[in-house]
Amino acid sequence: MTSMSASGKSGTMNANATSANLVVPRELNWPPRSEADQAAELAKLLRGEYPDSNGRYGPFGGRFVPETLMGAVTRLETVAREALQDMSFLATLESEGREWIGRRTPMMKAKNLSAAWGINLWLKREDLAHTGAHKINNALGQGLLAKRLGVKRIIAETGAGQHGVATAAACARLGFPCRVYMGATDVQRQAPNVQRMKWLGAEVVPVTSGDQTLRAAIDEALRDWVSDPMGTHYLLGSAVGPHPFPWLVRTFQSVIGRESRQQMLEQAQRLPDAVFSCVGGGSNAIGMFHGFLADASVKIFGVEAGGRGDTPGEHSSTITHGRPGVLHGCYSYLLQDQNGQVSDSHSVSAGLDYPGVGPEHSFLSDVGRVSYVQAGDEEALAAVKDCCRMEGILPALEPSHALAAAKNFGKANPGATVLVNLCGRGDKDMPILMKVLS
Amino acid sequence: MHTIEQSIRSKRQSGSPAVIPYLTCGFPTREALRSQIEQLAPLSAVIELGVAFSDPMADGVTIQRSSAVALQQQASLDWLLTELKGIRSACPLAIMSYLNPLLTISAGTLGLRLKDANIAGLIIPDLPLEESAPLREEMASLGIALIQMVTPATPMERAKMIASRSGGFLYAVTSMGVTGGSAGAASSSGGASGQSLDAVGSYLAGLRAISPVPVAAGFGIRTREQVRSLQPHADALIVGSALIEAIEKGQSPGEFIRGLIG
Ligand SMILES: Cc1ncc(COP(=O)(O)O)c(C=O)c1O
Repeated sequence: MTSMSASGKSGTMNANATSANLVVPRELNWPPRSEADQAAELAKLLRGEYPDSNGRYGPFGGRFVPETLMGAVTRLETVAREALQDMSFLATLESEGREWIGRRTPMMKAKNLSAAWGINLWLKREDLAHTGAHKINNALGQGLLAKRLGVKRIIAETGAGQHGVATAAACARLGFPCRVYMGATDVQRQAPNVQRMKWLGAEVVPVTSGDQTLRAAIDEALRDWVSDPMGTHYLLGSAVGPHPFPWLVRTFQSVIGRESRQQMLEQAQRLPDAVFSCVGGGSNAIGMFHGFLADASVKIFGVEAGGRGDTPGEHSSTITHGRPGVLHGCYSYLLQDQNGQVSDSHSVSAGLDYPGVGPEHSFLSDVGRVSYVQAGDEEALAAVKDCCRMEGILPALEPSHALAAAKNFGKANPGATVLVNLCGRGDKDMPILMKVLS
Repeated sequence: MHTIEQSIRSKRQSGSPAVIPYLTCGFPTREALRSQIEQLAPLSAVIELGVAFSDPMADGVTIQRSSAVALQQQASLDWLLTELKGIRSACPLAIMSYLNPLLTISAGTLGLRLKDANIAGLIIPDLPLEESAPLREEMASLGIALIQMVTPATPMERAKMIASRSGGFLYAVTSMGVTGGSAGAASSSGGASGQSLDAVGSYLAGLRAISPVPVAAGFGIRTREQVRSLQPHADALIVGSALIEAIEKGQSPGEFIRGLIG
């Protein structure tokens, strides 16, 4: 195999890259310019030196939150670090993962898509996890932590509704009252999940401020949290937000990459040539990628939503088109205008429709380990159709972006062994599919 | 002593309440700014000039609304700093901005631009102590105060540390939650219950005992009664959402503040 997808931006210096500013010390010398410097930074991550004590991955991450929340985020990190050393916590996580979520989820050879696309395509079946997406891994983990935190209630944001459903389910199982903030636009386009959350006992609050999608839902959840930071746990659903969330979410999602690597060796007797995950905030992606970051032969691709095109407001391709800034408590690539106002984003997929991205993805892009590429609305919808007709699986719109990018990769790399994280099922997307596909 | 600190102390010595009004700059129009500052400055210890941001996560509905209007009016940090070069204020001015708009001005030039605009202090709600060192150093070298916040959830030891690093004044958040609630009343959003005015008073007294700089109370101060009962406990009182709501109703900022402290 020779070429990679040309639209990947990894490894190339781009005009938007970070330089020293109010929150990035000059001494850091970011971004690393030579391949040796990039490799040295990646090695630090692999040795566990990132996030550092300030919650940074290189310059990215941090805790840019109001003073009101400092106690809560500090306590969360302390309690999480203790729990992750505690055998009984890990045992509960494992048994609940097995019995309640249905882990480990299967790995499947997609025979018919492989034939059609000229590659050997493997699918990690996170769509078969309880509640229908990878989100449940993190909801269970943080739900169990909430018990140790001793909080009285749990709040969450949701875009596609999958994280809301997962959180509602975890709260039902663990006995917490649950409130979910969801943008009014998403309440409409993901209606089936709204009803599911209610049946699971959660209160769903439609958010009519801001852009009325995931970003506004996070704003609103943060506003709730500041009113009772110690009595409430904010169960954040993606690898974004202030430290320790990006690390915590990665920790609970890494099970995807660990299982996948083992399953590839068992079932394909080899590692993949390339791995693809969709990136909204980046939780399924970071969990998958951590299984393969140390395998230099494995090319890794994060797939952002290309939406309707490259003009601002028409896509959610944060790393491809953004420049670093601070949103929702962390420093990371961000879609924003020249005045530092956050731009509106678009994707046919509610879960990817977010102008920010997890700080570790910004790091992985700048050090050249992961290539961030795009798949647009139309390509994703075509992949939904292909996957339905050829494999008998209705995938969520989010991972359909990863499928589309894998298909594109196959054109330049025929015969390649490709792993896609099929991180959710598409039942929730019926309202929008009926609108745009029929 | 920093000019902001001086201004607060001398207002208090003169016997009138030291008040710090907050404006969302560009609300209701960009043209209104000059008159708003001219009306407020003689009545105020400091004016807090808010830079509108698309995602004001520490703000309640009132300031969300005024920020959205200001953004529609094309308000920006760049516009504000340019505009201020031509406005004389009888009291010191501080900028209140979320971090991201400030990041659009490169590190070396931000301080100079603030100086050019006669800005004496900076308040950044999403910049906690742990992340603030580089900015504080740069601002200190130019004599611009980085004003830090404490809240009822801040442990006393931490409050001490924050107070010792805060310039100009210490911003004491009086109620948990976002801006726009009511200090000394039960909080409106779900979760913690509000504190009584007495509890707010003793919280402020505790902070004044440890703070080397004046303590200004803010978040949810909206009535004359609150001003009267909190005034003995704080060096200054910050009034934000209530002022914005008055402006929304067509009242002039000067008239509203006079009513509050008169
Ligand atoms: C199935 C599915 N995949 C992906 C995402 C995007 O989130 P992340 O990038 O954190 O994996 C979502 C979010 O709602 C989702 O439901």
